Amino acid sequence: MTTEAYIYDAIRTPRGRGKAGAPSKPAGSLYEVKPIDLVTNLLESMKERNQLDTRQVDDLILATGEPVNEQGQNIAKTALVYSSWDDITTGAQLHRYCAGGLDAVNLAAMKIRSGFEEMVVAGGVESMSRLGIGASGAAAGDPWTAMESYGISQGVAADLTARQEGFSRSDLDQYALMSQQRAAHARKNGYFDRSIIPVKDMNGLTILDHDETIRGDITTESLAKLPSSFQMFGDLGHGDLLKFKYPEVEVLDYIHTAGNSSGIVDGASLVLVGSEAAGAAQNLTPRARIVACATTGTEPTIMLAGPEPATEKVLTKAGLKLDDIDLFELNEAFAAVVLRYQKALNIPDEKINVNGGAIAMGHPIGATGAMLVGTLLDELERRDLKRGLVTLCAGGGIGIATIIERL
Amino acid sequence: MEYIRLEKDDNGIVELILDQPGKSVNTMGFEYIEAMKKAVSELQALASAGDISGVYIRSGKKTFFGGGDLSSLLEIPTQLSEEEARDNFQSILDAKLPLRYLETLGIPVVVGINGAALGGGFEICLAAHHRIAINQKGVEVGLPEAQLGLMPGAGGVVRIVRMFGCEKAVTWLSAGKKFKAEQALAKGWVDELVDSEEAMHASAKAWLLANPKACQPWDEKGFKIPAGAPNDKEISRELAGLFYFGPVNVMNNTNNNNFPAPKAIMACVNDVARVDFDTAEKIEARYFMSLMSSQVAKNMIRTFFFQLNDINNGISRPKGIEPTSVRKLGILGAGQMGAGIAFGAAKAGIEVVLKDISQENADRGKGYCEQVCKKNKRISESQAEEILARVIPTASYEDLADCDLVIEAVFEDRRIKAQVTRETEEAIATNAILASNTSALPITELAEASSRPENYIGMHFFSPAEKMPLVEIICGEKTSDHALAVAFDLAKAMSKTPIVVNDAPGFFTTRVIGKTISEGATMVLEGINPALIENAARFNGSPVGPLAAIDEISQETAYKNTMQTRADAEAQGNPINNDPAAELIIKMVEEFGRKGKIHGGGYYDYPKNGKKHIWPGMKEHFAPNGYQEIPFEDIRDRLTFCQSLEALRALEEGVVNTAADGNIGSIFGIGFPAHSGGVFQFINAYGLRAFACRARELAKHYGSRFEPPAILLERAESNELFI
Repeated sequence: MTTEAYIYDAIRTPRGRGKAGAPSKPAGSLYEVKPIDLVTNLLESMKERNQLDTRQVDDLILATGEPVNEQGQNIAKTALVYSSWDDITTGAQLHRYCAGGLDAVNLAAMKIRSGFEEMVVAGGVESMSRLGIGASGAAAGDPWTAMESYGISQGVAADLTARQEGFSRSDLDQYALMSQQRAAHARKNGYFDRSIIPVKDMNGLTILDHDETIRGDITTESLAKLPSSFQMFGDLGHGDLLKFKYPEVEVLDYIHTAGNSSGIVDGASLVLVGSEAAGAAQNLTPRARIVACATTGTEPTIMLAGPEPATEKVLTKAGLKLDDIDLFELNEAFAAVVLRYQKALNIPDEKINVNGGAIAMGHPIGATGAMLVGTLLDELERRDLKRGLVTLCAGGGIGIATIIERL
Repeated sequence: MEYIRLEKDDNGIVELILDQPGKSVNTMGFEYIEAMKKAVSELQALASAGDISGVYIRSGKKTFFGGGDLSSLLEIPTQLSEEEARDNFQSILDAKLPLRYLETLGIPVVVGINGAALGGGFEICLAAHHRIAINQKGVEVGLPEAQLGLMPGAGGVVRIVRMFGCEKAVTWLSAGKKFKAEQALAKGWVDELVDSEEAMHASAKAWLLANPKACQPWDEKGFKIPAGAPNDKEISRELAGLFYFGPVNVMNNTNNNNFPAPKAIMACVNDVARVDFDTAEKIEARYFMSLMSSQVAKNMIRTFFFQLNDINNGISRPKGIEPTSVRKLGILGAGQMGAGIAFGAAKAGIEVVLKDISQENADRGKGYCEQVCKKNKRISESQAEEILARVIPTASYEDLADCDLVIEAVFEDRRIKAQVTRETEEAIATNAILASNTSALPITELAEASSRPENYIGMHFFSPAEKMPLVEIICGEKTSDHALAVAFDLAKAMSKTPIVVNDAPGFFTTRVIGKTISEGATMVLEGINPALIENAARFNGSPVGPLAAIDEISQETAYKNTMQTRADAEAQGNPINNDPAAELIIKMVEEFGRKGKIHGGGYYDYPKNGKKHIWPGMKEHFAPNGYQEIPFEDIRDRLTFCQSLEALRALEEGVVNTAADGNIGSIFGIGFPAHSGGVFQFINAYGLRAFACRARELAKHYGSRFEPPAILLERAESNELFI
């Protein structure tokens, strides 16, 4: 029989506004924190709260969207060396665009289920304020590659998604409002408390202990006033380029804004995955098992359509049906992505992103996927439900999905 | 006699003289490569013996160097075997290497440019440390390869990037820029201008003696590409933008790589800026080779080089008639068309009498010429004065008395045309030519109103006539060769390209464009999404879609023409035209009041503060239950195939006589996709058999109008291209 992969713990930093400081422009709270410290804060906390014998942990897999400079050259092993963890634990860095954090968890599960390793930590880290988007360059930025690939701004792809599905600006804003209200409610009622580990400085002083970008007071009116975020890309050529793939498009409306798209934030996340035996050896109680995982590729220009086929693939793998899933977490990259998924799979609001998502709390690229695992598990426990599914869209048309089940 | 002579003077300067045997212009082909290799290895020997103080490259001909050998490029197959590919690649490197040796010999190299130095010719110049040109007419330097679907392949990209930076390289090379002497100096493409050939020799030698240590900037220590390279630690916003949005613009501007040169150039500039010179040379060779064997380059070389030259050299002009010239031109009708023609003639130095029914109308026509002058930045105020002084507006036929040729540009109405024909002939000399600018009415029929039908001809200008480069000349049954020669020479004098066709309704261009307009209408009536139709046309490479085209002309005008044609048919007892284009136009105008862009909207809406978009009524009226889905490739092919098939029928009927006239006419006159090389070359490129098969397939699904005509089947059988 296959070894099961159990989740023993899932923690994350709070998400700080991903803004660099500048004269008269205040920085986000985590801007002063180096990405490696976001990770080591969590590593120390994970070790301490589980009384973990780190010699029993084989590996740490960390995803990041900008594996360069302060996040470069294997931040996972670097963080382990710098932390109090034992030298025996190794580390590797992973890039799967926005899907990296969940992919790290999936890889950890595969390692455990294969029996090749016993205990693995998986997660991600992203300091968007310090690195910025695009800091590591891009293979896709090579002109010949670009001209062969028809890549467009992800935001324009979101606007194209909205057009294809017939979503209006107010549909998107309505969803965004719900995300903010749900996140505010969850934060106020302490739903995130089990997983959030405050970020502390070298003196033990807390720098940030709550998600910084939630706007519970936002209104439909204030959302409606926000300008389009991606029209510039459309006007500079992406709006025409996409027609080579979607010739039925005549004029595209640019309706995604800073209000109905995921926020730019800093943060990190870790999930402790292990076999039953490895957990028992350390007196750990498993919280859930990882039932199945899947990745898949879809049309890369529109790029955001991956979650549906990934969901179908993972359900098939698990031998489950949509109705078997109690709660869904789909990364709120853009409002249209969630609305499209709900429409395609007929998922009601009550089952998806019930405590808000990246529109309210931000999307720290490499860290998000593993954060969602923790958020989902906390909520399944709070509601005493059984099964949940995490899914994300990612660059290049990648879709990823994972099913977890409480024991 | 050898291609390259080396002549050494007393100061140790060796002149490298390019003088291809048996040619009036030097070209870069196999002979050049062999000769240059040999010459440079001799120079290397001299240099290592210390026997040489400088190299002076010049031409032994009246002009410098013409560029690549285009006829041999046409012979290169589109699919190369591995061996052919290896050989081709090697010969590209063989053309590059001597130039690299030359600039790194350790002795100064100068070039004297006495005429056109284009393409490969200018790439030779780029390898010199100093470029001197004579400031005279005919001296022109440039890298125009992209205009024929190619790019520089003998170090042109590598060196231009290192001389001017990535952005200028992309801009200049993709546009295929050429500069006359003074501009070339201002842009830095040459370093020095002199007044005469003697001064050029003297300057060149003086420079060599004064600069014994000359070295290319890119061979100096610490050299940096101007404005930065894409792999620099820090790059400017401009450079980042060039390589982020630049590729997107290339794809959009070429409609998804219809023209492959801009894409190759954009990528090549980026790639060669990242690496050392010698690696860059290999990279450039690879991109160049991919274009060299591309179908589009062949299409463009055949049509825009060989066939256009044939036309301009008079293949369709009657033989044995001395050159003619029109000193004074009459124009009847001072509307936009008449006035546009008047401008074109006056600019060419021809006296113009611009006649309309009232002085006021005629004056307004001259006013249009004034506007055209003002809008054209290349026309100075004094030039404008001279041009306008040649245009005499009048309301009187008598002023036409001594015109050599009169162009009639009045309404497309047989009665009016007949009337002005009679009135004009009374005013003009008996040997003067009368030309109708009709776009569709048969010349033979119009000539019935003429007492001198041998002097009656069709000269179909395109709107706006001051810009459009084509004139379609139509011979009626009785039109004389002399009349044709005069019309042909006039078009040439006006810097227009004349094609010559025979008489039939719609002649050549109008009947061909009519088919794609009609096909667009058919698809609307079938319930196909208009956005797909318009995008299909755009992706094919047409400047406007079949729906937008009618919006511009206005549905109302098309409606009037339709009704006129029907009335004519009825009067002549012929069957009434029931084609879908007519049906759609009548519906648009009569039922929906959509009369065109100038009337507030046609197939499109034109919001004041936004982009034009398809009128929502299109869906409501033509696809109320959802659009009809057919493969997008079918939409694309329907819009082009209908035109090429009609051109074949015109060829079969003798309306058009040469593939050259058909190709050039279709591109210059009616916007057939330029990269295809024209209506006939499109068939050659597709493959004759494959084209016939595809036509049959379209016929099966969409109607018998797509059945291949006999001439295609015959030619496909013998695989005889339309050339």
